[in-house]
Amino acid sequence: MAGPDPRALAARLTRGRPSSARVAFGSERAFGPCLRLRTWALGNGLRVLTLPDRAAPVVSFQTWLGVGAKHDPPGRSGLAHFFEHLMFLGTERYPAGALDEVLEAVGADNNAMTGCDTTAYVTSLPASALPLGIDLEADRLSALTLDAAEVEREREVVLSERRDAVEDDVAGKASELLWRTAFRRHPYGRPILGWARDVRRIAMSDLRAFYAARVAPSNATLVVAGDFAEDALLRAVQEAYGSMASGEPPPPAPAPEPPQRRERRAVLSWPTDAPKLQLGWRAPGANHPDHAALALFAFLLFGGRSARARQRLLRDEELCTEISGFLAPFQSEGLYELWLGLRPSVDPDHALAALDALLEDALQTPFEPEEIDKARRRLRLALFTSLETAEGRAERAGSDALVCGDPAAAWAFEASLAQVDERSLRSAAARVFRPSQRTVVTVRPGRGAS
Amino acid sequence: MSQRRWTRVGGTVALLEREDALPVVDLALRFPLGSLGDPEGKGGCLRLMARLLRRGPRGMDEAAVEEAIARLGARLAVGITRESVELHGTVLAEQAPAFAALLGRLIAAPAFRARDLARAKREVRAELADARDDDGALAARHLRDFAFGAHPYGAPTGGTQASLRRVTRADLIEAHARAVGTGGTLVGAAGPLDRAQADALFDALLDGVPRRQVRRPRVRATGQPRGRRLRIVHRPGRQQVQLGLATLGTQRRDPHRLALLVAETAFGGTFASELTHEVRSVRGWSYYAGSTLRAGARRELLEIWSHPAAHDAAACAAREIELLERWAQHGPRPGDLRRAKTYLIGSRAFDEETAARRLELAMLRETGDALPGFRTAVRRVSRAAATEAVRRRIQPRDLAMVAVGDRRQLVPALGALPGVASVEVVDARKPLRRS
Repeated sequence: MAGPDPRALAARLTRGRPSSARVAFGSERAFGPCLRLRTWALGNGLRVLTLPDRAAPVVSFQTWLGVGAKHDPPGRSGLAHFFEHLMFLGTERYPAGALDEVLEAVGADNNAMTGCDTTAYVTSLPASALPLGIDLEADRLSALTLDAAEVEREREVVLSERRDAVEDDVAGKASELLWRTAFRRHPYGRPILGWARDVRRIAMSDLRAFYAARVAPSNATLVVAGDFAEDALLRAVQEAYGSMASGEPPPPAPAPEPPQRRERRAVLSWPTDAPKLQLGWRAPGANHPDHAALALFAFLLFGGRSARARQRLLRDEELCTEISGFLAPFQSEGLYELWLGLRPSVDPDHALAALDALLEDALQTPFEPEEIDKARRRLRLALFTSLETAEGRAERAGSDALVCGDPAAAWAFEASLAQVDERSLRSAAARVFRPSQRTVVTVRPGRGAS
Repeated sequence: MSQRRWTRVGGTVALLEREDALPVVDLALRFPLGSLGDPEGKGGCLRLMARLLRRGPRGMDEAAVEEAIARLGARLAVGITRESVELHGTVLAEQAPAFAALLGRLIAAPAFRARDLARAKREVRAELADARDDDGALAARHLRDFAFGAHPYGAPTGGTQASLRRVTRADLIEAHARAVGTGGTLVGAAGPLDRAQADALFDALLDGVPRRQVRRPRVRATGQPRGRRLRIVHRPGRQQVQLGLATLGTQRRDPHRLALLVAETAFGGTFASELTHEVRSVRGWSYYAGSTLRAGARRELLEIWSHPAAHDAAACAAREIELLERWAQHGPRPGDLRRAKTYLIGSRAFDEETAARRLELAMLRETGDALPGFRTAVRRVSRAAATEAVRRRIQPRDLAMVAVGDRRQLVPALGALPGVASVEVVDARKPLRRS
């Protein structure tokens, strides 16, 4: 969809404005077969990505901050996530509870997510309510009240979330142990939700300092996708954000984790009848040239019902009830995670040996071209369906902008899938799926198992 | 964006949602017989039958089926509800005809091999054991069992260890014959298709499906025992409690259903609703707190869920009951009701955002699960109508309460809640007793 001439629009919007509110046009490019993505910036450093699409009368307005759990100071793990919760508390203009009330009153939904590298605030609105969404987001970016009593109540909610997702959940507990064992120095080893003891000792002063330094235009990217007019949107953004001070520069990236040279193991005793294996291989970040090849390899082995691991370990050998693998996009080196839910009587060491044999075979024996084509098609399908909604498109563009430095990286990924051949696929996999680069958490039935 | 509906030969209703933005086609098929049609004592039979559809027809085993689906760049979900067997596939548009033909083969003539049945039973048994690690799923399963007792609505759609043992190959063949027919069945497509292209896909899908009416079983009315009853599902050492409260609510053809839905949205259906605000925002007791109003052919449950810490469970449950009683007596608060109505009307745009979502909504309209003229009907719900609906349908004196957690903390704390007439404790590791 072609919008107004972007340079002329930026010039028109900038005329007579203070420097912090000036609009600069960055770039325009295709976002898939039908859409155009434009990048803009205000004078105070706020970046804006626009993805207009009139197909449905909805819009997703998202704020992506370049701060995540990896930036939590030592002893204050969970700070970025805790603060994400606090952004839903009150401001002078919208006191506690008002944010949800006014958004729901127009049929909008809002949520947020904290990752290792980023934090995102996601509001999906009927198109006519976009000005309200902009007003609310700008308001909480600059005028959060941080009432002490409300903060304490929200701390309890965060601890409840942690009990739900980790303390009483075997997969959450195993995952936490996996990352802690795999990353001894780099903060990816600390949980996004934070250690409970750290969450308890996050002080008001920590929160205020975080708000001042990290929640600011210089560290924020607005992503707007859906049914809106670009000029009206940019004018509203200018009005709402243009007077804000820039803020501190984005936080520096932590030093990388030293290379892993030996397999690491940990055991979790849990009251379950069915043992489990949680594995993680050190894998390159989302920007790495091997990323598409790894995604294809992982899909062929673990990704669907026809995947080799599922066929062999689940169907033929009946070792597992569940197999799921996950290559998340990280800014720096992360993990390829694999979860095996084993049948009650299966010895985890036996299952691990079967997995090793499968991997060895996959690394030694060439894949048929048809098999690689199969994985390509399924990954393309997954990409397309994830981009069906305005929220999905905004989320992908925002995440890719911050993690990969390219808001259209999804489509670069799609193009690179076509470039991967059998040889590059196996050589990329061989660099990652080595025992020396993996961490294994074994969940063994403990007290309370029948 | 366009929508079409027509009836095909054999009585199948066809739906098409056209959208050209992405080269992706969704295909959906719904046969109107679900787990309520399980033979007596053989709970899980229809689900096993549906599961074995993708184990292949004669001459094509499971591995070949999965390989064929994957090579088409497709994904397929086969599921079951109490009232239907459902297949939903998504495929790259260029492969849609081949995918429809493959699905048609799977549906029409499954082999139901004895070895596949035996393996599927072993899989399901292992999954049932695995599911006991999930406190939320465990609590949900127990709440239905406890609320409905011996009524078929209380039975898990997948059956139990005991009921699955009794299912034979002959049962699967008989279940397939009852469930798979053209009459009363819904078929739908969404994506870059015109009617002729959609009809060609439906022809392939339904090619081997017999032209017969699928008969739904008669299900007796649901009921609930009088009084407040508590079941503790014992999980030693748990730090927090999966707490569920349920009472009978509404059914699909209930004239009060829409007003009750609006009232329930105001009560516990959104973040700003009274229940969620009180339990999460004001008290900080639980990350999640909210209500769900279900509707079936017979009266279903209104459920209230939260996950408080063990030491907060009694206070949290007591407050939830207070709020429920106040709501049942006085109806929704005016401000909450206004917001619930505008929320339901405004957020409908998201249910219609993509062709796949519009198709889903159109299929729900056909079954009566989604109401036609929804926005206008919601706009017309008055406070008096919402209050009357709540008063007529919600009875907080009759509550089934389930708490998954450590009995040593929960029995004394929750057993002392007002009006609790009975307390039973069951072991989380033990399977449900029903057959």
